[in-house]
Amino acid sequence: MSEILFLAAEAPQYKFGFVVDQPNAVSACLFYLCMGILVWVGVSRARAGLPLPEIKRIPGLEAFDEAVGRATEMGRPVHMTNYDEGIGYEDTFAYWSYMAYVAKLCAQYDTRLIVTDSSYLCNAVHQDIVRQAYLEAGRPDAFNPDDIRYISGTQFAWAMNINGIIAREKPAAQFLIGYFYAEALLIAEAGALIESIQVAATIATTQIPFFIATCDYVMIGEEMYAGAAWLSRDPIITGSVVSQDIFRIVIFVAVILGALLETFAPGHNFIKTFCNF
Amino acid sequence: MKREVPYILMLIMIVLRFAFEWIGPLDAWVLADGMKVRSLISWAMTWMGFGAFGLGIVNFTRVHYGNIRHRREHWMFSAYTIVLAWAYGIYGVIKGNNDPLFSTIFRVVSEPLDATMFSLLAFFIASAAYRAFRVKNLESTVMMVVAFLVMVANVPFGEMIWSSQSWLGGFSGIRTWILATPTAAVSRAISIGAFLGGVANTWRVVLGIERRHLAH
Repeated sequence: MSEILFLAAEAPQYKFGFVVDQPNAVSACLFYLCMGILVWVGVSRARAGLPLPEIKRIPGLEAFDEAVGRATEMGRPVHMTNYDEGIGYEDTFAYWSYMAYVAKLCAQYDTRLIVTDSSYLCNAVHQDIVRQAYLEAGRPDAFNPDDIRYISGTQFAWAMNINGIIAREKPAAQFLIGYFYAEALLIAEAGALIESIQVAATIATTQIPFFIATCDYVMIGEEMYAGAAWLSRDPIITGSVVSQDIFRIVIFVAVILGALLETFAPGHNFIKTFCNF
Repeated sequence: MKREVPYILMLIMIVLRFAFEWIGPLDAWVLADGMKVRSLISWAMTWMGFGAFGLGIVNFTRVHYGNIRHRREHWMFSAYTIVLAWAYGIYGVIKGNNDPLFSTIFRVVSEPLDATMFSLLAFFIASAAYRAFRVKNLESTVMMVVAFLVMVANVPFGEMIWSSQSWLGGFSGIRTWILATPTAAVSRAISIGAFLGGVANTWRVVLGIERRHLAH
């Protein structure tokens, strides 16, 4: 019976014979591929030593050295965290770049680094990243695995524990990087109350106002990803950031053109048709 | 080898995921028993998570047992944790999720604690707002005026002094315009930028340019 039903079922329709029949499937695929090509071009140009457009300076990035330096002078630890972290999240990948940089700075300055996690899988990665940073700085003995702590996957249990850590350990510098929800203000305000120097970077538009109100430096949206590349001080990685700016210009033009076409010639809005394909 | 193998594994997974998202026949690939290959991969991930959970239980018990055995600082908390976690876990396994006592324990312990932490936000918002809204320059003045308008529109008092039935829709109309026009425009601009950044970051990882997550 099930075989008869299976045979009677309509054969699935595909775009170009193989692409899933979902709106945006082709346009999104092309977009991803174009972005990949642009990243590759940026990297190749950087490798060949060809000139690349300059990336704007982000004040928050210069605060990293300052914040760790201040923690060293005060003899207090540095705290780094990200709530919505996970293996495979692109903002977690960016967070790892920041972590490698901060861990290396802390190792060089002999400052204690506390990393708090909400994901047990990420905790293992963080231990490796921080251990490697201490190794690169020539101080493997200073690495303490107990300072890379898995807290909880439950939002407010995690926030409560971190507030406790902030109150007890009094970190002189805090780096809040990644995606946050309602717990963002709980942590950032706890840090502000102990006068910790705080640098935040997030793409969560709902939490940006809270970070602006409580943190000393805030990196907004794509600055978080650009900063992750910029911190490497590697021209090859920085070269890949240029693709973001090129595509932003393309999208800006498409938005303006699309809005004009939708207003004056709604039947001929080829941008909308392409995006929906 | 230590560097290449994780990268190659990661690349295979990325290509597979990309293929399952876009290639129709692959997405609809059904095995003999009617089970989609994609669903089987999801099942595999669930079982991997279950395995990690089991490992977590063993590790959790080992760490806290060590604290108790060596009488480390605050070892009593480790004792409470082990007893409560195991007792609650075993009870849940025996009685199931729908048992009244099992759900009541969760409701009377976990939910009030969550609500308490969440309610702290009100006080933290007040203290953060006090710092943010101090009139220091033109930007903070604009922010304070806008925040005042939105705040007044959100309380019944705002409706009393300038009704939504009157000119411009009252405070409520102004709030709706602020949220739907300038705020939404800026928020979407940030989201588009973040999306582009995310894609570029993903490509850096795919192309092997960014390898710090592999502790390189």
